[in-house]
Amino acid sequence: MLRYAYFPGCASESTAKSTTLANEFVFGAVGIDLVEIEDWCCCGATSAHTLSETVGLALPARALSRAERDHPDLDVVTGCASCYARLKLANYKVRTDKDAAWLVEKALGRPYTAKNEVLNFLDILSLDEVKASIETAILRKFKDLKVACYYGCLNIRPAEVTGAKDRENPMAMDEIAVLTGAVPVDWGFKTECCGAAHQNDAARQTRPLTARILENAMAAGADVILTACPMCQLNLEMRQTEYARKREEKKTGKKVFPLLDMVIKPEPQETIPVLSLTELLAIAMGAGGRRLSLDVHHVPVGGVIAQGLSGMNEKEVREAFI
Amino acid sequence: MNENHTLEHLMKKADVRSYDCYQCGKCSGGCPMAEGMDLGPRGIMRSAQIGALDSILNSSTIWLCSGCYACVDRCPHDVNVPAFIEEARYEAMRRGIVRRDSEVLNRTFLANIRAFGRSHEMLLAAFYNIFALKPTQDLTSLPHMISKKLIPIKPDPIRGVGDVQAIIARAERLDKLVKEVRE
Amino acid sequence: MSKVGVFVCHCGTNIAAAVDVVRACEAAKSMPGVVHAAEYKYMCSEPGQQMILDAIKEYGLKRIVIASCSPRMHETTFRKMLKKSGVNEYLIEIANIREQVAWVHDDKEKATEKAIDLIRMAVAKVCRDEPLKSQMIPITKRALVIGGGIAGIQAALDIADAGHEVTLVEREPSIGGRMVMLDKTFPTLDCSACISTPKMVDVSAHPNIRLLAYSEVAKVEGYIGNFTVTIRQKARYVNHDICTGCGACSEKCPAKVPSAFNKGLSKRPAIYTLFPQAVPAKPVIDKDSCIKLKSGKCGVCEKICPLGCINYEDEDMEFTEDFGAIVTATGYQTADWAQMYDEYGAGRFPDVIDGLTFERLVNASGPTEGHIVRPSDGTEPKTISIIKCVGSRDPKKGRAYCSRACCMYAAKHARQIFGKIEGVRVFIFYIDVRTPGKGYEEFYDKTREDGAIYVRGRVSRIYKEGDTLICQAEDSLLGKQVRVKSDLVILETAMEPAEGSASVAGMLGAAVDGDGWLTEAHPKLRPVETQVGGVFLAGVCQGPKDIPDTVSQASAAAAKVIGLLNKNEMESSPMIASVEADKCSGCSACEAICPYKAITMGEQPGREAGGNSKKVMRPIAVVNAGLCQGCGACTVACRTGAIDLLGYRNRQILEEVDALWV
Repeated sequence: MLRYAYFPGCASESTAKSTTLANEFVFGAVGIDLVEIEDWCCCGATSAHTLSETVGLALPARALSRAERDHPDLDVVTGCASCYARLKLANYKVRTDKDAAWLVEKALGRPYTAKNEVLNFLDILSLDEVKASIETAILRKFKDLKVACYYGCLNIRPAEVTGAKDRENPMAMDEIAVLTGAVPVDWGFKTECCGAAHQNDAARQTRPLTARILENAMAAGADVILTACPMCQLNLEMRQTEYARKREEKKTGKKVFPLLDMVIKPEPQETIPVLSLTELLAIAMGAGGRRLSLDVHHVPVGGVIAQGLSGMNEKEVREAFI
Repeated sequence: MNENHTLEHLMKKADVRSYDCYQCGKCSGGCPMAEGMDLGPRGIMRSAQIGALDSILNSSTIWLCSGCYACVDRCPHDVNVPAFIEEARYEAMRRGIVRRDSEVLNRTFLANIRAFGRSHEMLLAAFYNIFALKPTQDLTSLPHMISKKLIPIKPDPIRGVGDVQAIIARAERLDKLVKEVRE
Repeated sequence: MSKVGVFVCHCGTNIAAAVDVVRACEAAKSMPGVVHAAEYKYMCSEPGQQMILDAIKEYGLKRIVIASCSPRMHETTFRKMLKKSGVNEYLIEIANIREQVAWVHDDKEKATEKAIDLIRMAVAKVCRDEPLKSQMIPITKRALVIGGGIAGIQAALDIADAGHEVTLVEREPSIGGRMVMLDKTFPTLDCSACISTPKMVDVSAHPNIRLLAYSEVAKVEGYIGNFTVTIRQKARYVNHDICTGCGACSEKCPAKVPSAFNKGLSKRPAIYTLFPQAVPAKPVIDKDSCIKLKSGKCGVCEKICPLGCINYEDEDMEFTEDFGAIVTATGYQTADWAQMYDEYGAGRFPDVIDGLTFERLVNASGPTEGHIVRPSDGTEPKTISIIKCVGSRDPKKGRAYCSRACCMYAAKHARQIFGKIEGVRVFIFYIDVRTPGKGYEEFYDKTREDGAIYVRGRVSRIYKEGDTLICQAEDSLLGKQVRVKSDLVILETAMEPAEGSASVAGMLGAAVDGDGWLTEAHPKLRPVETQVGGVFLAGVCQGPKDIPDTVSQASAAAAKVIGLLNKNEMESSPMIASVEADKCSGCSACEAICPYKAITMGEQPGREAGGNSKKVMRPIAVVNAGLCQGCGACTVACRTGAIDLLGYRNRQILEEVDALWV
């Protein structure tokens, strides 16, 4: 049985509720044991390293050193691209940069040798044996469900830290998605930064690039975007009404006021549901919509799932989505 | 240390040589944040080439870089602009040059971690909106977040919150020490 | 005593600025054996040489040391001078105080000391030098040209016109190379085929040229004037002696494979000629795609051929020929951009093509008869983006060098597009526009006038938005990001050495540089020669260049070959290995180590070991003066010290080293 030391990341406790439930379901179903790192703390992404190099390395190293102490034989895995980037960088720096290693150890007040690997969910789910387990665990397949796999920039880059070979058009997630019967589309924004890190402090500059990712997925004919990170997930779905209204404004010339929209609640035409990869897998493995709390999505996902599972009877469909 | 030495030191620390850059623009061409930036990654390297440290430290670019590393990945000469931007940002902060919105966010974020050991998006967004004087930002998403219980209203700190505070304090002292050693 | 004269050159200020030449000259005067020393501004000049000749007479000098630039530069110059004076031309040593001292040291004091040391060593060695005499070796008056592109064609024609026999070897079924794939050529926009196909016909009709298409060089032995080359004629499965090139077989052949000549834009049969104007205009069967040869079934071409030319039993054939000189014209290939640039789609988008593919697309004799259409859906593009430096000027993903022709090539493509599509928009993404050539800048001016929009910025990535391709870049002159919606994108890819050129270079013993280009003997003064005597360079195999430069270099190489072949015999260097027969034990270690196969084992009379004094023949190493290049590898391998290198005997080298410790 595969075992990993697990770093859930702060989002797992709040906004990524449905993804966390799906993660538990999927890893349970394929028989992978995720041992949560005891009393883990925030990795600091992305503010800590903006303010201080040493704080930026010491925070992720705290969780990693605890994993190393409690589970000396286990590699660390996380399901969040931001956390992955910080954990992986701390691991890489300690391995390759003596000065950084010294600073980290002094800040932690205990040793961290970085002997174990830091992995993301894609690394694990792409293993041949895991893929085989996924195939066995899948109970129902999607039909003609077109998915745009969004990897996020930080799962992939920087190459010398992540070791990722294909940074422009990776296929690992696409290859997992097809196991569910979904049809991955060829699109252009698989690894383009979604701007999640700056949605608060540079909203004006960041929102166009998030909107662009959504537009490209829609232009490629995708029914749903798949993510591999709760940060990307939230960022891609959270302001879709706003983006859609902006596009309408551009088209019709009629001015849109977001705050007023809160009252009149318009129904914009152009939104695209966003699911995490593990949610898609969990649904294919038989998990119902209620079990996964799929109603937490900002853009409703029920329609897409029902459409994708059109081979099911009415009761199953009702179970599958809310 | 004079300005040129500082610039050289920052580049050395980031393992970047300004002469490697021939200003092809592939970095700025692909930068997702470029449209919102003043200099952009190519402009940062150009400023480094002519020794304009000042314009680098006062640019919005060093605060808007999202660290996606697309620029260095595609750079024909492997110029690690994000690494250099990070060093420039630290230098700007040492001099008290900050971008207000970024400063508010980052300080709020770190305060959050000091208080709870983990980050709580609700508090972060709320405090950010208050201190950055943007009360309506993302307000439209709030009803959904609350009704679906996506954000715990009352967060609990982790057990090792004291340990986290101590680590942050030691790390910040080490940063100062490193700066003193360099000078 | 030896009566040595020392002459210190200033080389203008090249040496004099970094070395105290007067002090070095003074120091030389007191060295053992030196009877005269002098310094002068340019020793290699006419008055400089005269000064040495006068000193030889006046002081009765027997040996000469010249402290100057590298012996590679002027050793031959001074040897020729000595020959005039009557002193043996091998009683001279060059102390290299330019490249090894003046150009690499800053401290004048220490540099001067080092220069004096080098002079002292040269004096010590020259005292031990022996007079040497070169031998005359005969020359085979035939030339081999490897590669039938425009460079090889031009070189072959020039040599043949001068009256020498030429064999032209080309691995493809037809000569013509890259140039016949092109539609038009810059800066004149004349039709490429119109100017190159007549030359191809000239080759096939020339009485002095033997054309071997679909052939490869398999082995090269020998040395300047006396090469023996093994050529492999690949199995053609068609008897070219009787084939008339009627084309009936190609028409009926049921096998269809992507045509490499048309860059995959069309298909060709398994029995094919490369293109309609091919020379020779006779087909070959590509054994990898022929149904009959693969599975035994079919045989349509055999049935259809009215003359019975088809022979499925044909095999590769090897034969040897002797040559006096070899011209390499192995050319280039374009970089495989799809392997390098994931950000440009890595070949996933059919409407992102390279420049050579565009040439086939725009070519009147190409698969679309010159209509520019999108490979994906056959529609006419309304916006076309051209990206330069794809694979060039990119040390990380491609090549560090500039491929030199692409700027003009891109401008030419824009002009061709404007000529064919009305109302089209053309964007050219560039880093720099480089147009150093006659009429080139004017061509660039006209391209802008025609309406091409030059955007200064290397494209960061190409992606698809629906059905449209988008080139995302920075207009670095405005500092603004641009996204250009394009129906077709043309990548001007880097030139790379042709596949297999390294193995040809290996067979010839010619050096290649880090990028795989063949290295010239001297970048300025011997640009078409290699370090291997008798082997010359023509065209892009030496480095990226355009057609005018390629043809010039081919004619230059031909001139060198003609100069060599016009002689009946030539002098060989006497600085070669020499065996002391009495010491040689016949172990053959030298034979094994010699890279030029210059040492063979002969026999000499001797007495049997063991003291019974019986007379026997025993083995002994024999050196072939023509093959030996004087590398000295054998002298190190020889365990009895029987082999010495003339001019560099162990004794001479040791004397030189000892001089350092005075």
